[in-house]
Amino acid sequence: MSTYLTGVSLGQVPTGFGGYTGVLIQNSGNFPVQYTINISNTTFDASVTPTTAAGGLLYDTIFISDSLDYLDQDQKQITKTINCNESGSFYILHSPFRTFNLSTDRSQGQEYATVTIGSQSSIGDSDSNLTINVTGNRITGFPIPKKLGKFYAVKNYSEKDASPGLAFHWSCINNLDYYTGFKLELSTDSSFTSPIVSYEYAKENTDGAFPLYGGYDGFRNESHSVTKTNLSFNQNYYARIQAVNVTGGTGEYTYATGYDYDYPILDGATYSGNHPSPGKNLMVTPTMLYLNCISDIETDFDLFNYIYKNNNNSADFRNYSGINVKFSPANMADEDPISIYTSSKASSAAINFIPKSNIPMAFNTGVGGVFRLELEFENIELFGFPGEGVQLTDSTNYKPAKDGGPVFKFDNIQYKDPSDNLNTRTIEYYIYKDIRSLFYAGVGGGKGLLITDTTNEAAFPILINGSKTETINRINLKNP
Amino acid sequence: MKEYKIGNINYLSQDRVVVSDGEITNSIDVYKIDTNSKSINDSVSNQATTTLVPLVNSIAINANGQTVTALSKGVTAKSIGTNAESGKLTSIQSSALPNIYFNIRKKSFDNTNLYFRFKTSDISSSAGAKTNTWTSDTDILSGLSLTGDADCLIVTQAYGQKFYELASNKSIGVSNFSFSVPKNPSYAFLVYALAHPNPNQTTALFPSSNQIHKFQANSDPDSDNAIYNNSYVPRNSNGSTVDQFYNVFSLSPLLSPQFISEYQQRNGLSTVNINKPLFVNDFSQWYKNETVETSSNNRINTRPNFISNKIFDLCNTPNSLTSPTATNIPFIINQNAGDITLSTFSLFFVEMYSYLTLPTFPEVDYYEQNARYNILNIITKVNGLTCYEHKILVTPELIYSNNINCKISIGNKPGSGGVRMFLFDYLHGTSRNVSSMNQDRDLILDSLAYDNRKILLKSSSDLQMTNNQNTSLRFPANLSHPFLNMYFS
Repeated sequence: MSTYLTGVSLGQVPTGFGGYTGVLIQNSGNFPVQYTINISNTTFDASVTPTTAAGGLLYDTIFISDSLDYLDQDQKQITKTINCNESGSFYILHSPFRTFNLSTDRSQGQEYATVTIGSQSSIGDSDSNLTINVTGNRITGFPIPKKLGKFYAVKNYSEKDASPGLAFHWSCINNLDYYTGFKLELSTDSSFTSPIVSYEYAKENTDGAFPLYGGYDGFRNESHSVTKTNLSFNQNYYARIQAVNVTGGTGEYTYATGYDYDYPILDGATYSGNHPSPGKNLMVTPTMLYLNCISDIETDFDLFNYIYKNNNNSADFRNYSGINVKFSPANMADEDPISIYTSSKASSAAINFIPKSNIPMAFNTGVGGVFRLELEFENIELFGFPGEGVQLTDSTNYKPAKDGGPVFKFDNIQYKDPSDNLNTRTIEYYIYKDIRSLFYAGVGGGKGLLITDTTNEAAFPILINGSKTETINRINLKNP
Repeated sequence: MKEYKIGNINYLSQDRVVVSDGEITNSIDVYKIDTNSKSINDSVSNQATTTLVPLVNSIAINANGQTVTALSKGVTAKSIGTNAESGKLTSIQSSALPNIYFNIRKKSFDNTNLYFRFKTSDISSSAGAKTNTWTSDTDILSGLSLTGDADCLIVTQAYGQKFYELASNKSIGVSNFSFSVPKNPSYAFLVYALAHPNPNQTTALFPSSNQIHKFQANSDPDSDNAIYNNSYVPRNSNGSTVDQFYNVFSLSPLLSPQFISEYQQRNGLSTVNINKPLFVNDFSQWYKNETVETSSNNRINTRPNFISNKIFDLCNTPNSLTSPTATNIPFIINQNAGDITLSTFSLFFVEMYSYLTLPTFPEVDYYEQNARYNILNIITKVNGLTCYEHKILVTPELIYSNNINCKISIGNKPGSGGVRMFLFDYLHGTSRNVSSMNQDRDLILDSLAYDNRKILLKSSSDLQMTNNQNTSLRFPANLSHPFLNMYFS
């Protein structure tokens, strides 16, 4: 067995943390070899005595293990069989300060162990042992934490919640990063002038097999999350985070990216924590309420009542930024599916959205600062009410013709919400139609006609009232 | 009094009433009564009695046991009152109008049934850039290009949408490309526009739009003969060669064995009997009411339906250019050299169909011998209305080719008189059957209307129809495209 490594000095490990190094064994021979790896007890420099140790015992602090994720503190030997031209590995783990009781006794210094690797090939010959002298470096200072990564926020609320939340997620993306918590800042301005600061703390290990914080490689790939609730809709939010060590030292800022859904695929900047300041605006906009209005025939359709009923008999839409109503016929599989909405009087329309005076309407806003009422029409024909024609009572008296009615009748609705400094919120209407849908206002009444003798108008007058064009029926002129 | 015509009834799967002048101010004037005094010979006198019509005054008479009025020889009819106003699109409950916006509903279609598609929504070049090639959508069919003379296509931008202008007297196309004849009903859709810088040029556009589109067998294409995929030169029933012109939108008859009987599939088809001797070769001819002349040989053809020229206008503002209003403005394009105003702008959604059916009433009813033929239907619709419907008797013996070399051409000929032509979308596909094609058609048209919504509305965003300060409608109902289907005052 060739000797490539006879001594290793482990990296500096601060109080409460762990460190490690990996050892690779390469079998360059022609036969499989069984390697036996042994480690000695840990020894300390002269400043560490049993009187300063917990319970008067100097516990081992340097170990060997097959894995970074598991440690048997009493394991002194590992056996590995490695085929020719293959390699195997093990780890040397360092968990300083386990031997100390009081923090006042803790000191920086060095501690030592010897790793011995014996080998025996499958044909029986053996090589001389390889000895690795391990030096652990114990420090009481704390390095500045490294930059965090994968920092993003996800909208966290349901339509039933009066206020939204943001679920923040982040990860340690560097190894041997020694921190004990995080400083999360949530700001309503991009300069982080007066952010809401909260501290989140890393979980402490209690089983003794691991350092107090993290594993033997620090927090590498460990993810953290916290949800901030009772936030405001339509408010600008920016977030940044730092790792914090036990003395309050903070690392470089990482700025948040926002997503609408859980488990997003992160872009490169978000993954590496390099999203430039101030990060993405994490504004939460209330969702839309989506309704499908399926009907074939309606008269004076009360859209407000329809929405009211479909919102559990409530006109409270403060958790919504708008409502989208899709109108379609009952059977879209028909050859020519169509729904017909008409009006029964000129003062009404085919579609009416007039909130009731005894049912006050409350609503939120979304993009553009308005509440969107979107009406989508697919294969829908809307007809306004036709006006009466001129009505002749005799040859000299008549009632004038009446105007036709509208297709839509909307109210100009405003709402002041106490949570919004009583700012006035308004509804805007958006009408989207396909080419098959038809909007046909009511036709105005026509002129009347009086037929008389040329010589005596008063005699035998024929009175013909002005026309009233009822909703034009859909007549198949080929096969009426 | 405004007049309203009942017509334009063929809307593929429905019949409907179309208001031809685009605005509603009165009722349908079905029965017209002359308001002038009439003589005895053409008056509305009751002649169902032996009582003589009085010379001067109308009198009450007894006729067949009933008292009726016998009008005098002269009557006067006069109108009473005035026409009332038609309804608005929207009305309000309170004193102020809320903001109301309008647009085309978003729709998309599955393009798996398409053979090719040329679109302009993917143009990346800047306005004013010139090219001679329109390349097909590579997601559907790559390697097909419509090519013309250098710089014949100019990237044009209007209301945030890019498209091509095809230069005057130029055409783009492809010749001799191998084409697998569709086995099912086939269709082609073309979205294009004709425009003129001057107002009131709508009618002037029509004679200039001949031979806009050809999609046919490649054989001898320039002779205007042999447009069928078996290279057959059409003849009329007496055997003479007919003057064969292209329809203004020509989709070659692409036969479908799905509608051919087992006997026909076994024996093939050998001859064709063209009962329509004359195709339309001029848009203005097609535009007229009597578009296609009927003849004694024309047994089963139906007349193309009348189309009001008003139905085409997207921007026809002859009287308002000196003082344009918010709702009455020219169409404005940009080709990287400042705004160009087009006071006449007509946008066309052209649908072309070709499919076989079995003969039904009235074809068989008129002539029993027609029962042995299949009916090859060729239909062209513009902006949703049938402008051309042609039926060809196809004998069971006709031989046709499964794979042929085809030619496609889209031309701006002659393009005289300052008429400008713009291209937006062009696609070709097939459907399982006619019923399926009708459903596909609805989806495709809705999708094309959505894709070109900025052009339809002359607006780069949702069109604002009202606002709090102005209760007047901001939408020019009487100038709107028929696809908007909105009528109000």
